[in-house]
Amino acid sequence: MNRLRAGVAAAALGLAVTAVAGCGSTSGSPSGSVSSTSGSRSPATDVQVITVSYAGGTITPPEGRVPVKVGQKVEIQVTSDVAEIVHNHYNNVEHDVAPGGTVVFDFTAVNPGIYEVELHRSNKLLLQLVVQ
Amino acid sequence: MHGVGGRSDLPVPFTLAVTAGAAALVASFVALVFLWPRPRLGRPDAGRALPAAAARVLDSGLTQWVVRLVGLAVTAYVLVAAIFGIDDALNPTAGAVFVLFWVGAVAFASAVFGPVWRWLNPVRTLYLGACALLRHDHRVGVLTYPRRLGNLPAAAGIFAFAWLELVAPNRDTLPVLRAWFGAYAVLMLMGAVVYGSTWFDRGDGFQVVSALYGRLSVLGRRADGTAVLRSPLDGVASTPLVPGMPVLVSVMLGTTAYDGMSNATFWVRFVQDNALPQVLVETLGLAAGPVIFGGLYALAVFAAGRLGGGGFMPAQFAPTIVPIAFGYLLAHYYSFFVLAGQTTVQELADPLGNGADLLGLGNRGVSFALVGATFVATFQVTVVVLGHVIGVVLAHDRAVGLFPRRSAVVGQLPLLALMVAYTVAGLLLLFSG
Repeated sequence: MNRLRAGVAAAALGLAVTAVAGCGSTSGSPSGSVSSTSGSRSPATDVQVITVSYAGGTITPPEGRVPVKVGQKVEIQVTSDVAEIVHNHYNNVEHDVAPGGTVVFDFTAVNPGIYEVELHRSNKLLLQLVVQ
Repeated sequence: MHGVGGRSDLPVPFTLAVTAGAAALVASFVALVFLWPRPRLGRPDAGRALPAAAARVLDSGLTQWVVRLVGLAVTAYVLVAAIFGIDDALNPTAGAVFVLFWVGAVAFASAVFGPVWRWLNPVRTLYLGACALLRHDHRVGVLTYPRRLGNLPAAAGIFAFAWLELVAPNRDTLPVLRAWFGAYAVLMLMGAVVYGSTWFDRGDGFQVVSALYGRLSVLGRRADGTAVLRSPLDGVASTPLVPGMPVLVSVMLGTTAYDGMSNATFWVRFVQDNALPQVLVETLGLAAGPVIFGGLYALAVFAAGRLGGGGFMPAQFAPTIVPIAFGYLLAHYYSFFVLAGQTTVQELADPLGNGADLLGLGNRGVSFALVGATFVATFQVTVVVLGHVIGVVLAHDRAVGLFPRRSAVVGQLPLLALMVAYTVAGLLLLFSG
């Protein structure tokens, strides 16, 4: 029984090490870095402008995550070649956009999280705002 | 895209995910080697009987009808918003359904208080009321509920609900919600007429899930009906085994996992830039979750039966997955419940969108006090690992009861591997989602 216990313990250790090593290869992802909330953070003076266009059914830049620092002023400009409803989930605001028109969302990102900005008519995600 | 809210949590830090994974792994093997050699959970006399006064209140018909009427009244209130309200982002219906009903009542409240949806379920209450008026025994239907059908209709119902929550186009609009819940209520009533009230306990997905998570509550009932305080381990271990339960728990795990994965950039791009229709790709993705999780379960239980000696007993280990599913759910929905819950309650104060404040809440906004990023990340990995540990202990107890003593340890290895796989998958989803 003792030998079995030792064997199992060794196996556990081995698996744990393998798991750590195996997962290490994916550590290139940006998600690990959470900026700490120190008092030194100066209020951002300039605005982070994020532009995205929807044309011919294609989203440019391609749908993905846009990092934003907590406290940052943000302006999201959305252009569409079709009539759409754009929903910014950060502040739960919807704007209609006419074909060829542009809508703008102005806000300050305060609460951490991943927020979706999406098109309601074509049911597509434009981008995910990563506030951290 | 989540049903309501459009917000999800930041990925958990990498080191936290790895630490949690390692902790789960070590705990598993410690449990395997050092836990009790004979089954001791879920005995018929487990738990301590409630004081007579408390038991009388719980058992009284009056209490039960008060709870039923509360369920009926809240449903009626939400129906007013769903039928007469304005169909915009401020309508409370979607929040009432996805946040308060699904996460709040069916999952969280059940885990705390026991199977509450059995008493709140408005369809069941209507059926019982109709039976009382017609002087018909509610347990009697046209047919006897087939044993082999078990939880399969419940699994189908939960999958259909996950499809509504995660895939259906325009799922937060009133026509879609009315159509889905209208159809569901009609099907449940028909099931009850055909099979009697047993239908709700076996075939109604929400009631069955509420009962399964209710097993985690410290409040419970013995098989003879005595109300007791007991360990969640005893509660889950004494879950009556029903055919189809493995399918149901696979759906519970797999659809929650899909919800976490569907947020990842690679999946969003794959879906939106696909030549196939978006709904089809998402439906296939959602179906893949239960298939993968269920396939792994079947494989592990089969291997355990071979190694442990006892044959293939698929239903036996299904309850041991329930704490893991609840860990997933809690990690996944905690901040959603806190934030969207606040929004929903404030929206409920104005069901018709005419500026009323029926609940007297004022415009208080949404507080992020309970969902700080560091706290949420720590909470998430903790509940996933805790669910894992409880699952491992339950599987151990079940295995030493089923397998001959000399092969009980080796018979548990496939089950341990299964649970480690589930937990690592859950942590990966938290890390990448």
